[in-house]
Amino acid sequence: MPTTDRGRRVTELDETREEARRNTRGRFEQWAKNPTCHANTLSAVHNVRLDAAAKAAGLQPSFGQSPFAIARGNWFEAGLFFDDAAKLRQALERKSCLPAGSTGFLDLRLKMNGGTEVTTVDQALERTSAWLQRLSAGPTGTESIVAGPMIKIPKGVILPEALLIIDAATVTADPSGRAKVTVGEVKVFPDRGGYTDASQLASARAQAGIYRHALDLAVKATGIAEDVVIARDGFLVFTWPGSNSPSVRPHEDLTYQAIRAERGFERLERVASELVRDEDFSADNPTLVERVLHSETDYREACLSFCDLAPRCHRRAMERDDAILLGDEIKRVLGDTTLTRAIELLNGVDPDDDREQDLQRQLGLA
Amino acid sequence: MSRREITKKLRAWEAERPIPRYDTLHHAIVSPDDALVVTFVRMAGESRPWGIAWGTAASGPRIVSVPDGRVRDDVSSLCAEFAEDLLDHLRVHNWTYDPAGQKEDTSRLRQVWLPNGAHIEMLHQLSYTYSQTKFGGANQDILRALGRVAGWMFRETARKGSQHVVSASGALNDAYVFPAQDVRTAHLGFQLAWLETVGDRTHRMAAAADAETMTVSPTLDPDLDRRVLSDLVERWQLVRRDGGEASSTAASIAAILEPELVRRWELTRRAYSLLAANDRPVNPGVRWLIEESQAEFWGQHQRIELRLNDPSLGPAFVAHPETDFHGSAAASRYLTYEAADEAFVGRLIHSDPELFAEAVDAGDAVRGEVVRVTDLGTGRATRPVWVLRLPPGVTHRLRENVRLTPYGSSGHEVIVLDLDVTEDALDVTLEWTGLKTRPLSVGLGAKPDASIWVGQQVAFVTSDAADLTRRRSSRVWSAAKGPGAWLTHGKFPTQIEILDDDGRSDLLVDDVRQIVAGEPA
Amino acid sequence: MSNTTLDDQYTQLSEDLLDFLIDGGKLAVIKAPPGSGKTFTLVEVLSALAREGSRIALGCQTNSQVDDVCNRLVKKGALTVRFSSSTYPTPDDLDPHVLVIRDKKQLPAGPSVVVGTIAKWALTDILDPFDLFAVDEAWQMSWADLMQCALLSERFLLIGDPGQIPPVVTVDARRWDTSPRAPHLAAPTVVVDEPGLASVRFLGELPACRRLPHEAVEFIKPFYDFDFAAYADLGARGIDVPGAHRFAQLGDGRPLAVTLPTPSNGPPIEVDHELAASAGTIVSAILDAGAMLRVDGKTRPLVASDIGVSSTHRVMNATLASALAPWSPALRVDTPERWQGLERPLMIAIHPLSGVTDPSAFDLETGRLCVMASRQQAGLILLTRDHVGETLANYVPSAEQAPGRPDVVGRGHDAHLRFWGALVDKGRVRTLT
Repeated sequence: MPTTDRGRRVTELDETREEARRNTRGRFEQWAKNPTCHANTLSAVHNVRLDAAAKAAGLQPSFGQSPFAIARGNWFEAGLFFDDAAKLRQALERKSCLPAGSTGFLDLRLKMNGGTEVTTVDQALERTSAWLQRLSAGPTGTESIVAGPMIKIPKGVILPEALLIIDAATVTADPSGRAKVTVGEVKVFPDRGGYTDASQLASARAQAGIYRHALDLAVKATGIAEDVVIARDGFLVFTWPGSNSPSVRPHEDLTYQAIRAERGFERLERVASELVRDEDFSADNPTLVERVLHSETDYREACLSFCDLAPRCHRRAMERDDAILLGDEIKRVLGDTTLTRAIELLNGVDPDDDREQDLQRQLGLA
Repeated sequence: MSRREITKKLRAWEAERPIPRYDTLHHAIVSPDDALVVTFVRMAGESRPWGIAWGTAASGPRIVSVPDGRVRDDVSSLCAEFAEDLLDHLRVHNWTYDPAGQKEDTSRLRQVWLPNGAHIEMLHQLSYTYSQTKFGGANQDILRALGRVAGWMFRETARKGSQHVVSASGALNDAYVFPAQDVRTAHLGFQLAWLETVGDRTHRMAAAADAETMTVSPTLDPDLDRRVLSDLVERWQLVRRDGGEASSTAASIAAILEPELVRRWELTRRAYSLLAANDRPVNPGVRWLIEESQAEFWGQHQRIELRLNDPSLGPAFVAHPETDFHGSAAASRYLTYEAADEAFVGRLIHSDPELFAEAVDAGDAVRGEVVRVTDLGTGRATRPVWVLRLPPGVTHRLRENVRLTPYGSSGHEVIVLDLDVTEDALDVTLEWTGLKTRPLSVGLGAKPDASIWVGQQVAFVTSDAADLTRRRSSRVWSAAKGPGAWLTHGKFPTQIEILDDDGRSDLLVDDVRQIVAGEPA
Repeated sequence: MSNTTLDDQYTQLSEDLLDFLIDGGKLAVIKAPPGSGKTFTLVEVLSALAREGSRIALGCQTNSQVDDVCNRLVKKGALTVRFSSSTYPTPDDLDPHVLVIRDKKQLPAGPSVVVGTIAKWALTDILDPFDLFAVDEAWQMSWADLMQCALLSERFLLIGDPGQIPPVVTVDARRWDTSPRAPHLAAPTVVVDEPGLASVRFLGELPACRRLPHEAVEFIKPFYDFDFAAYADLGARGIDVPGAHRFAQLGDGRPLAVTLPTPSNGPPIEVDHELAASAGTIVSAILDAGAMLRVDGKTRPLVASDIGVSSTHRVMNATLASALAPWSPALRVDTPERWQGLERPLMIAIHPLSGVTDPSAFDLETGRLCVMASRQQAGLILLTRDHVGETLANYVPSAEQAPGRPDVVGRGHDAHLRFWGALVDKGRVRTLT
């Protein structure tokens, strides 16, 4: 432990950096929920947590995870990888993601995430890189299940040292004999077939798509793209309802989710480059919090599901008599026309301009 | 969102309160004794109930919970207790002295009211957990019966027009247009605050925002879990593990879960009461929907229960919670749902002018002037043919061979023979095919071949093909005998083994194995 | 690729298919790009099989398709039966050599092709199974519908366009999303995706699109998972508008996107009156300029009946019909569902995303755009508000489909992006002035 103030500040900064890196995936997904809101963009880029911003604005944050859910998730994951990933292996073999009798488990998880050997981010990155290099020589002798490989995405300006930790991956041989890596996403959601929660599925696939994209970049960056195949499809690991048994869904097409990740990162970089003014990404920096709080917003219904600043946006909408109070569709139709004015037009008052006349016609009055 | 819906939302905003969506209610509202209100709480991350509140709208709730929602045996006992009352309420064979028969009067409909879709999903979870469980000890039979009926209830909610299971939030959204964002109107407390608060829009909005802070879903506020329950549950576990007396901790947990259950239960009961006391009548067409629902209960559940108890009555298979793996089962049920969907609006539209107006806007109904009436029949046979003139630019779904019913005169039917588009009109030639010699129940009330219809305005709505679709639904089973069945009726058995935390396994036998190999569930 | 080579491929496919069926093959699926001669191929194969002694049932989706196929089959010399319901009036233009039968007991016992709608076949209890049951436009038929036809024959031939509008599902079908034979999916999709059927299945693809101008074919390829060529020669088709006309670009056969500015407050909902009026402006401009239709060496003046207009929303179609009333009824306005199977020299289509700033999965489904962009023999104008490119670029697709189901939203978004991107890249997007 550092003994000086400076030393302690550096350590805190390192820890913040680490936390920021770990949350790359979550921040990207948060941004994707409302890409046109500058406050949301800055929050994602600078890793200013929305609940922190909400608290600074005097609001009560409401989103958060139950400790029971967190424990369940940890327990489920731990169970999957216990004893050389026996439970996961059995489920993967049953669904033909691995051949019967597969062997070998490489645990690259950080100790703080349940791993046994890897203690730092740099170690994880090194070992993942070493693993990929070994794969370039072919799949023979390599582990068939890998937990927690860590990839760095080289997007230096906006998401510095963006780190991704892949939940799980399998290694098999492709028809040409090269090692084929298939990414997998592990979620403690119940698999209920067609009734599996759609947003949970979307979230799992989006993350798997990011992994796939990241792995693609990584093998290209290390010059082994010809020797290692990154599968276009992936697998999802959910739970069987009411149980800790894994439910594996193989052959999930990640093509478009990987494209989504690639386009998304590029777009985030483009958008953020117009907004971001410095490189300091400390989550607690009051200046950054203020910057988020003073940014332009684009309040919509989706915000209510994830953003702790939504009540503030809603209050402002009420002050402005904004059509968003009745939802996205009404807002789209009315645009800047206030609700009061819209009702006057609905009741047949003379329109002030072409736009209002058009609105009356759309509402069926003309 | 259509123009009509947007206008309604604005009108609701203008009225400063929710406004009726239609002129009638489109769902049966049974008597308080026949409406069982059920709500759940569950531990975050888990699928099974942690506590259940149940009771009729007349009697009030019974509240039962367990200290730790992860302890399988405790939850099983809880569910067995709940199952007794649920199975009795729904008059399921073998669990009541008055089982529902094949032909039931519509007045004997029993309903189960739940707060919203998230609670209805708990029925699916119960189906997974219990419908084929090998565990449960002395409670195994009743737990399996619970799993089966919960599975049927859950599947039934996807069938349009079903009457047994009611989402209170859904029913309120069907009945009212709320001056608020749609995503908020999924919250039962929010909806009731808008409906019941006295005062202007500001008062109602504030009450609704306040109500919204209290979750109605089966999971609890994470803050409550963090601040209070997590420690209590851990303490209970430790005491139990050490063989100590944990009843006071259990009581503390129950004391926190009870108000959560009661709150959800009360909201649901209030929604029921509000709709039961509504000044709008229930649409007369709902009677048909009840009959259909009772037939579904018999065919898809009660008959199976009878056969499970007495195989001499015929084969029975227990539906798999996930899907119908058997092709005929899947196609037959799918077509049944299609038939219900096709029939739904047709049953209700004739008594609901607002529903009719919506159909006109969407092009599912048209109104025009009768410009010609002829009879193409020869001898004693009558073949009345009309030409109906519609204004130009009107939205419509009319095509040759489409069948229509005169609005307000259900039972009559015409088929579109021809469409003639001119610059200033659309002339539609219609031949009467249903009840063609009987007077219409609308307008002049004359028979279709009467020339006095000329000059009259008559409206038509799309006739449904539900009867045909129902026939198709049964044909998929009989087609299994056909020469092409090797392709169309191929079989895909799927055995799923679930291992619990202790390594014990539970099996779900799919419908294919049950149907083809006779393996018991 | 030369037309001779393509003709050889057509011939080879027909021969291979015939051989397969004559040798007792039980299941054949043919993917056909739009305007690829699907009905021609079907008529050739079925009439050849009838000549070999086969008794065939053919299912079509609509009565007018049944009538059309009957007229074509009878010209090939096959005993052709039109199997009709009792209420269906025989059309005046049905070839008199086509036998019309309404009673199944009167269906011929010998070599013949009996044509009826799928709806009719699904509810008919056949006394004597056929040697083959063929389905035209098979991708519009659900698996549940095919199941009902199991009584008809042991052997199946499914032919259709996989890029077009799939069967409409109006009910909550989530229960069957993970069923091995999902009843709501298109029948050929279930067959093609089923690995267990690979050993008994003949899978073929018609090699070329014959309907579209050569230059237009590449624009519709993003909607398909197989490749096909353009049959028309380069430069052989177009709408020639004289002088330096604003629509002169139609002369090269490529689609042209004509845009109106999107109001700063967003595009109109449901009905875009300005856009509908613009359709009238465009038709007027092209016809008044004396545009000439050029197809494969033949040229003649373009007339109103050569033009078709399509929009996905009925309400918008009604408004378009009003705006285009001066040319009605010759100029047809209809939804893409009703345009399937039809064609016109010049098509004007309202882009399905025009006015949609927040696309849903339904909006991004590509079938409707694919149909609208593949009806033309010489020219296509896509009329739209100009936000479409930006809307597509800003859209972040969510993959919410049930486990194991394909990512149709992602695929649809990608296809839409590539379609629009091709128009932009080739300088085919211009503002209406």
